[in-house]
This record gives sequence, C-alpha cells and structure tokens, in this order.
Amino acid sequence: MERISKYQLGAMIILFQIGSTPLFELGIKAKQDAWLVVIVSMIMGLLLLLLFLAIQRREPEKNLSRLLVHYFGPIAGKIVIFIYVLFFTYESFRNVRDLGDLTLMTILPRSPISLIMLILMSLSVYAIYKGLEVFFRVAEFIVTGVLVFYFILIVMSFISGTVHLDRLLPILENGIQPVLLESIRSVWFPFGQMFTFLMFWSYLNEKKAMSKTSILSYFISGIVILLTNTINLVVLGPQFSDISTVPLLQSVQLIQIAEIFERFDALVILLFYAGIFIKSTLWYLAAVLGLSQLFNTDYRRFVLPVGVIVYSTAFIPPNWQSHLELGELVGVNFMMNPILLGMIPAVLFIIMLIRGQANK
Amino acid sequence: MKRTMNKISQPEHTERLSSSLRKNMDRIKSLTGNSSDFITRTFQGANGLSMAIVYINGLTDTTVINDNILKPILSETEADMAEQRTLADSFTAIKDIFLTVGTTNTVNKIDDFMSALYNGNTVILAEGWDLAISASTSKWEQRGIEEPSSQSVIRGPKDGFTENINTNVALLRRRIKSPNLWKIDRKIGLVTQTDVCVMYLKGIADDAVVKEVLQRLDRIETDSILESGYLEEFIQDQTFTPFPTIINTERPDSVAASILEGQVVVLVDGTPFVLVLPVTFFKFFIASEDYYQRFDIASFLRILRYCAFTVSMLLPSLYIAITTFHQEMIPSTLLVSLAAQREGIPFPAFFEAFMMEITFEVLREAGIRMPRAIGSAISIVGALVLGQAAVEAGLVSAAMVIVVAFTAISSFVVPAFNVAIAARLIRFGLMILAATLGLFGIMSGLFFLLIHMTALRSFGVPYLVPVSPFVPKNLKDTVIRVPWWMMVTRPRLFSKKNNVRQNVNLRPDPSGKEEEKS
Repeated sequence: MERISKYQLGAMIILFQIGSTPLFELGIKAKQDAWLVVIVSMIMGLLLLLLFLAIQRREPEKNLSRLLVHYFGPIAGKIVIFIYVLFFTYESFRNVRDLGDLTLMTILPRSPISLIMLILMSLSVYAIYKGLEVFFRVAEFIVTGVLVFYFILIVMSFISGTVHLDRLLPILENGIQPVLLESIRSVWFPFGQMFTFLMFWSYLNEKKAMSKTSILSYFISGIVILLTNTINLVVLGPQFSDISTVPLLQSVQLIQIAEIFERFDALVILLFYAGIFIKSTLWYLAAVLGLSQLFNTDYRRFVLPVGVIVYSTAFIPPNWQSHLELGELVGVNFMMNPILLGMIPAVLFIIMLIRGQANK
Repeated sequence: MKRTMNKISQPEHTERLSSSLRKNMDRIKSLTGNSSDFITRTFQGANGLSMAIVYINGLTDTTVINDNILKPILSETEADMAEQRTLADSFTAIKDIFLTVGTTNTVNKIDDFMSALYNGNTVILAEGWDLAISASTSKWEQRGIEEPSSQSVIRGPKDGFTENINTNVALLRRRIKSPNLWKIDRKIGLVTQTDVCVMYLKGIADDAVVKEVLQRLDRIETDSILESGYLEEFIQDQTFTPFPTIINTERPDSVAASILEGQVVVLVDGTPFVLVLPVTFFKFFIASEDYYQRFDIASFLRILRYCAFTVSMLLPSLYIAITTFHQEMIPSTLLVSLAAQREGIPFPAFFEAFMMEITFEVLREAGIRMPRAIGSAISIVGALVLGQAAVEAGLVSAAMVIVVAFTAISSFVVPAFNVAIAARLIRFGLMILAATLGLFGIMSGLFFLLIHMTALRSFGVPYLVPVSPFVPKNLKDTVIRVPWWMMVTRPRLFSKKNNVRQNVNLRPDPSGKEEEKS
C-alpha cells in the first residue's frame, strides 16, 4: 500500500484548505466583521476536525469507505459511499470550473474555457495515474513556495501603503449575532471540507503524528485564509470586497512599490492555479478511491470515467454567476454540506461509540 | 542473428587447452586469423622442453618480457632442471621460481587464455602442459592524468580520470584508504569484453542498491560497451525522461565524496566518465568546489546555479508569454521601450524567439564539433552576423537577443552538463506552451514536469529528495551548504545505516586549539 509522510499530509492539508478559498471573501455578509467570521468558523471547523480525527483514531487503518461499510452495513454503507463519490466529483467539478472561469476573466480572455479545463484535467489525470504518494509529494514540493508567496503579497500590501486598518472599524457594529450566523454558514467551506482527509489519513505512515500534524496545518492554512480575507477588507473596504468578483486580485493590483514591484495579478492567478489544481485533484482522487473501494478493484480503472464526468459537468453552468448560484443552491439550500460533512460523520461516530461499547 | 555471430567469433567457454603445444598454437592462430599483432615465439627451454610465449604487440612491455620471462627461462641450468622430473614439476618451477614478474596466473581454458592476452599479459605454453602461465607484462600508451576538461575548478585537485580503469581505481584508492572500499568486477559486452567495476564503501552504502546495480549490470547482454553512456541507458530507472538519473563525472574528488556519502560508483574501462548512483535532482547542482570554498560563498553560488537553471529553462518562454499575453505585467517605461523595439519586427515573439534559440543551438553545436582552428570564425559569425546584424536588419529585436544570450550563458552555469541539456530541451516545449496559453501554459508545463520529476526514482531513491519527500536533515547540503563541522550526518536515503559522519563538537573554538578539516 502506498504511504504518505506527516510532512506530505501537512502540505496537502494546507494547500487543500487554501485551495480556491482566497478567490472568495468569506463571511462578507457580516461586512467589516468578515475577518471575525473567519476566526469563529475556523474554531467551529476545528470541532468538526476533532470529530473526524476522533473517528479516524478509533480505526486508524480504515479509510472512509471501509468505515462506512463496516459500521453502516454493506448495503447502506455502499449507498453512502456512492453519495460521497458523487459529492467528491461535484466538488472537483466546482474547482475545475472555478479555474476555467477565473483564467478566462483575468489572464486569458480570448482562450476557450474548454482548453483550459482540459489542461487542468489532464494534469490531474496524470498525477492520479502516478499514484497517491506522488501526488502528495507534489503538494509537499510546492507548499513552501505557495506559503512564501502569500506572505510576500501580504507584506507588500503593507509596504505599498494600501492598507487602511480603520476600515475594520467599527467592530461588531450590529452585535455578535450576524457574525455567528455567518460563521455557521461558512464553516463548511473550506473548514468543514477537512472531511475529505478521512479518505487519506489511513495512508499516513506515522499514525501518532496524525492529529498534531492535521491540526497544526489546519491552523496554518486558516491563518493564510484569515490574512488574505483581512487584506481585502483593509485594502478594498467591505463594500467593494462584497461586489468584487475576485477581491484578492483587486487588492493585489493596488500594490505598487518603486515602480517595479507592481501588477502582480497574473502571478496571483498562478497562485490560485496551484491551489485549485491541488484541491480539485484531491477531490477527484477521493472520488476515484471511493469508487475503487466500492467495487474492490484497482483505482486506475476509474480515473478516466470519473475524469470525463468531471470535465463534462464543468460545462453545465452557463456562466460564472450561475456557477456560484449553483454552489449556493446545492451547498446551502439542499443542505448538502451540513448533511454530508456534519451529520453523517456524527452518526458514524455515534455508531462507532455504541459498537465499541457493545464489544467491550 | 547476432547471437550466432558471436558464437562463431568467440571460443566456447568450456574449450580447454590441449597438451600439445603445436595444437594450441594452431588454435590461437586460427582464432585470431593470423593477426600480425599476436606475437608468438617458440623456443627450447634449458632442459629441452619446447615452449612458446604469446603476447600482443603494443599491449605489453617488451623489456619485461625479455628480462623477466625469457631470460630466466632460457638461462635455467641443467642442474636446476635435473630436479624436475615431471611436467607438473617444471610448470610450478617456472611459474613460482623462474619468472620474475609481479603476478602469474594459471590458465587452462582458451577463453581465459585469450582474455589474458587482451589484458596485456604474456602467456607461456610448453609441450605436454595442458595449462599455461599468464604473466603480467601489460603496458600500453595512454593519456596521462590531466585536468578534467568538462568540469574545471578554481580551487581543488586538478587530476581527472583517464581512459584506463586501473588508473581510475587507483585514483580513488589513493583518496579513500580504507579496506571497506570494496570493488566488484564484471566483464560486459560479448565482443568488447569491457571491464566494468562497481565500487562502494561497505557498511555505508546501501546493500540493496549495490545488489540492484549488480543485478541490472548482469542483465545486460550486448556486444559492446564503449562508454559509460551505454551502461547508463541500460541500467537507469526510467528511459523516457529528459532528466538524467545517474551522474557522470570525470573528477576523482567528487566521486570519492560520493562514495563517502554512501553512493555507488560504476567505472568503465575506456572512458574517463564514471557513473555515480543513486542520485537526486539537487545533486546535479553541486560542484565539488562547493566543499573547498568557504561555505557562505559556496551557498551563494549554489543558489545562483538554481536561479540560472530556472532562467535557462524559463526565460524565453516568460518573455514570449509576457510580451504576447500579459503586457500589463511590464513596468510602463520598459513596455514603451520594448514596444518601440518590436515595432518593425515582422514576426510574432514566439517565432522570433524560436528562430534565435535554434540559431544559438546550432552555434553551440558547431562550437563543439568544429576543428579548433576555425573557432574564431564561428565567434565572429555568431556575435556579429547573427546578433548585431540580425537586429540591425530588423529581423529580431535587441531585447530578444539579450534574452537568448542570457539564457545561453545561464545554461552553462549548471555543473552537470546532462541536466543543462535537459533544460535546453524543456525550454522549447515551454516556449510552445507560452505561445499558446501564456503564463497559464508555462505553469501547466511546470506542473507536468513537477509531477513527472516527483514520480522519478533513481535506484529506489525519489528524485526530489530532500524537498519531497521532505527530509529536513538532508537540507543542510542541498540549496545551501553549511560549514563542514555542522555536517554531522551523511545524507539519509543514500546510506540508511551508520549515519554519523563526524564528531558533533567540531566547531572551531578560538580559545582552544583550532583544527583544520579537509
């Protein structure tokens, strides 16, 4: 069986969590308190993470699909796995489309979106064919670069004098309630998505380091998300962050130092590209692994079929706006995130507890 | 087809020498087709024993043959011989008493007989023996030890490997005076019978790697090995990759350093280039001089090399991408001057860059192959005609010439030539991607390369160690080099056991006695 090290796991968590998140301004409904929303939902997400870790620690060698079959029974378990496979595929498609639209809107306005998404998908297919271990090592290789680059962007925002900290005032203008409500909505993305690692924690070679590494890298990614979120608020102000399509891009465009360090937006797109590539591939890999464990065969058989589905569904939303609306509809109105990322894991954990008691 | 050909030209392994001198001599003559450089001399030993010596002209030292073989045998006295009644006695007497050469061996098969000749030995036969004595008399003209032409240094030893495998082994033995430096010999190539040897430091090199190397060497069944490049392609892990997974070098000091780190080296007779394996990508950026110069300067130079490699791979494609797709990234004043330069250029940036890159590659290849005497002509053509005149004629922009020139210079900074070539090849792919999809294309290309390189292995060692998989302890000698006293451990993954290289408290302490480490 392929194995991953704690560094690889940590790198993957950081990149996966950052992923496409800086594209969006989390919790902007709470206006200038959006950064508080990030902090609160990060803490609430930590609870979810602890739940996932608790599940995994009871059965460190079984991944999600084995756990579901074992505790939900073969039939119900397999149905739930299949639902998760659909969910992973859906999330992968979202990221692929994110990148397609993002590239089209910014650096390559005249290129066909089909080509851009095709290239992303081919890279994913290639990475997955090379195996899980190779893919995790790719994340390990680029994580330092990504973190350093985000750090440089943040520092440069400060140096270039575009930061106006007073834009965070007044804090808690409308009381704590809007912040909490907004946090409950945004806990699922991206923090609740740590759920995906239930598919991968079992590959870790040092099980002892699992919780520590996961929580540490969860916080590192959380801090990056918090900082980029806050930079948007302090550079653009809450109103403009709300209406801007990709606020971080706008904030970065304002950086101007010594007439040389300016107009970094194309590089920021590349940064997004790295994050989205990792994230969509991990979802994709999770779907493929889920399917292979559902049918008990080699996972490479499912790489192309799933890839074709991801690629073709990525054309469904006619434009970026409806892509976002679809996300809202599925994630919030259909309650998909709370059910799949919150309730089912909780039920699973309870069943594990009960069975554990019964066995004693 | 080939196999049958070899069977005809090569004696059977089992064919033994006959006890008749005449038959043996005829066999040798028929095998070699009476080639005139096979010298045979028949004579009568002192006690009337009819004998013969065989050697190859040019591979042997005739003074040794005269003074140490012929003279002792011919000047045996009757009294000496009277002792020896039987043929076996005369054989041991000659082998052990009379011959005054360094090594003597007993040969009983035609096969061994021939290979003894090829190694420059002189073989002594006699009527009635079904054995022969091979005495070492080898001496042939060879290049002396010179400074390596492909990897030169400012500070450090100036000797380089030669074409002789024994000299090369000796150069290593002189550096590592330890019985643990083990050497395993192989002969590869059915026709060429090339000597190949594997050397490693027992107890530090990974035994699994040694075993794997030997297995891969033993698998080779080919007619010829003329250079270590032949072997490299037979034993490397992955063929379809631009990246080399085995280092070749002609510097004994860097090979010795590799052996001391637990790597395995393969020496091939007939070439000064020694293979070092397993390797990681970052090893190609290490020059042996890094360890002789001050650590801070060495670290700086190493970082410079990584940057230069990136530049040599990326610069033309970045230029294409930015001027074609992302003009907004160029600072305004520069943009204006670039636009002014490009105004009269009839080609798109991609075509312009492609043309210039090809031109430069041609120049470079010409520079290597051409006769030395016309070197200056090439540089005039290169600098004036293709550079200045092309700009003045309005075919290419001056900025493009700068880009190509800088790219070219950068590619020479990498110490290992084979990795520098990889960058040259990749550059063209990236230029096409840049011309079609701009920065997005370049980034996709780099991701592809990254996945590819992550999946590469060199004898089981992942190619991108120590960055991915991350091995913090190995970082001390990758991008930077820490001072010698801090390099307490050997790189993990090359040597799994016996990791400690030196004492921990070696930091020079001015208050105590300072020690120089070399």
